[in-house]
Amino acid sequence: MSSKGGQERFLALPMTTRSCFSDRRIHDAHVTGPAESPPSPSITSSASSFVVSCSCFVKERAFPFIDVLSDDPAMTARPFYGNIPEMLRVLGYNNTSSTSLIAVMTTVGVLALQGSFNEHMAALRRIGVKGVEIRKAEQLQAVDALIIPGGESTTMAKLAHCHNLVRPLLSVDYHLFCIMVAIVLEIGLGESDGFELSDGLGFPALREFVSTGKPVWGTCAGLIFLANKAIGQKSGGQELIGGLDCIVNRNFFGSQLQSFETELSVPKLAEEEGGPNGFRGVFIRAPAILEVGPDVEILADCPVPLETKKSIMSVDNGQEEEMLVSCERVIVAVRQGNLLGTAFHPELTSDLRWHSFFLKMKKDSSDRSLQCVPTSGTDLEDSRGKRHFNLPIYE
Amino acid sequence: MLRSGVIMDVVDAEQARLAEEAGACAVMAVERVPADIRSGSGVARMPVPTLLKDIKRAVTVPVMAKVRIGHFVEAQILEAVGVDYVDESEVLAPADHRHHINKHNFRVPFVCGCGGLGEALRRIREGAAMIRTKGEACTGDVVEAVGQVRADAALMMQLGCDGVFVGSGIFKSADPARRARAIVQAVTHYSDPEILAEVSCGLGEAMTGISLSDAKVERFASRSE
Repeated sequence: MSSKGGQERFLALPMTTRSCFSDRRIHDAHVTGPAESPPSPSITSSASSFVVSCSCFVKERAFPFIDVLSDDPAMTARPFYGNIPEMLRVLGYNNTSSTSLIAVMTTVGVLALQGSFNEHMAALRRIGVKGVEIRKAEQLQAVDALIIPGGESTTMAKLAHCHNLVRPLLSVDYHLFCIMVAIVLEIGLGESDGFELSDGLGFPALREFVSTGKPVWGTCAGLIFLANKAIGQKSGGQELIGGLDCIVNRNFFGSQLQSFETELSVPKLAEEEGGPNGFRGVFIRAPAILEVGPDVEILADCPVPLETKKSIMSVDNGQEEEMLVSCERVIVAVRQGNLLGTAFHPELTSDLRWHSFFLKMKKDSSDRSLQCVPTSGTDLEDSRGKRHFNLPIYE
Repeated sequence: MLRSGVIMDVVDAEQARLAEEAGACAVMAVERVPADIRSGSGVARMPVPTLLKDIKRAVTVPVMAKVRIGHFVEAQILEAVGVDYVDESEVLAPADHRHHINKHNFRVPFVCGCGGLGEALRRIREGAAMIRTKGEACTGDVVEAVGQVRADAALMMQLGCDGVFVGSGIFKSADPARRARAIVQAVTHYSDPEILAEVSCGLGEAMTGISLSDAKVERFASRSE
């Protein structure tokens, strides 16, 4: 921490993982602030304070993810450990402070019922973003974005059903919940479609999350869940979350023996994230997108292997067969607003561009609707000249 | 994609459907479950192709099948039939007492059992794509690293396993459907004791395990090394 021209300068930095930030030099200046008021002019001047951004969603202790706003490349950052209230207090924003803090905490949930959630968590850690494993409906309230990993969609559907079915009761009475679960299990036994109940009762929390407009990314099985329609299923069908205006074909390329890796052309990704125009796509019993709606942006496609075309011909599926046979290429990555879908598994490669592409989607949405955490309700502008910071940060 | 899932032994399409309903992420087609192999006689072999085709038609999850250690022709047959994974398994009568299959020659991925790190590395060098602990089939003895009960399954997950194979434990119990569901829940919520407590209730009779201290019980794990 140093002083320049009488003004205190200090730095906070992204805090999601302890290891990354021991001695980091900040070069970028990210300016975030409320949409309605312009960023403080003092931020762009050389002798400046900086605005800390963090928004508190979560009840439990969390490491704040703090955007660093500093134009001084010589500043070294020091880690800050603690929760939001502690940080506010340390920064001087205690209850008499007149500042409202605008904050962005990037917390990404990864649905952890089954599948490659560990790999997604690892990718998020490498980027420096806090990831949270989601197994219960109420955990969704604490995250800004959601990744639905690759896995067995049938399995994930069964497990999601089990928890969302009695979601409204969870917060009320745990014992009642247990009895309800027992009764539901009783009813479900022996029926060929198991937990499949009438429309509207499946995945309520996940659908609600999608409808809030928060970014959601589905890889492989996750893509199937997000699609509005899925074909190539067994009898009884499969419950979907929906939201992505497309038709997905489960196990389009075949089973394990037909799984493959291939170089995909991803111009849009390269444009946004840099890097080469190709991406190593890992397809494991993968689905493919057959048709998309008008609002859906196609990010990657791949040619249909000869083996797949042959096996489609030999299957008698009626109308579905006609749709499939006419495909020379199938779509394997799409984006629609804040929904991202990939038929392959970026989390199984070391290329993190899809993850940072997804996180940027998250930032866009948060810029549009920032959360303010007023400590006293007074405007940021008023307090600017009055702050004195003495930051006892851990080293 | 089998991560964090439960793979259940099934002997017919009906059991396969039940396993899928309960949330298994894959099924392992066997002619007889290990408990019956122990009590029965004759050579335990790979399941017949017609059984595999029945099971593949019945479920959407991946279908695996066991082959005898060293029996590369059984593996070739299973690959031709189109199974998703082959388990070179010590619970079947070994076809080769000294060597395992050269798994690099196959496109289908293999899972092999191991009793320790050395064995695991040997199987991987031979080309195994997945490793499982050996455990002693159908004893229910978790010290031998078989997760056959829901708390045992959660124990394995907490110790860091990527998933759980369940053999005789489900379909030899009094209430297979409920037990299957309970084990899947235990693996998903392996670090949530409240849910584990809940899924441990009301499951009826468990499978009767065999004691390993009985000298007549053959240790399958020592069939290969």
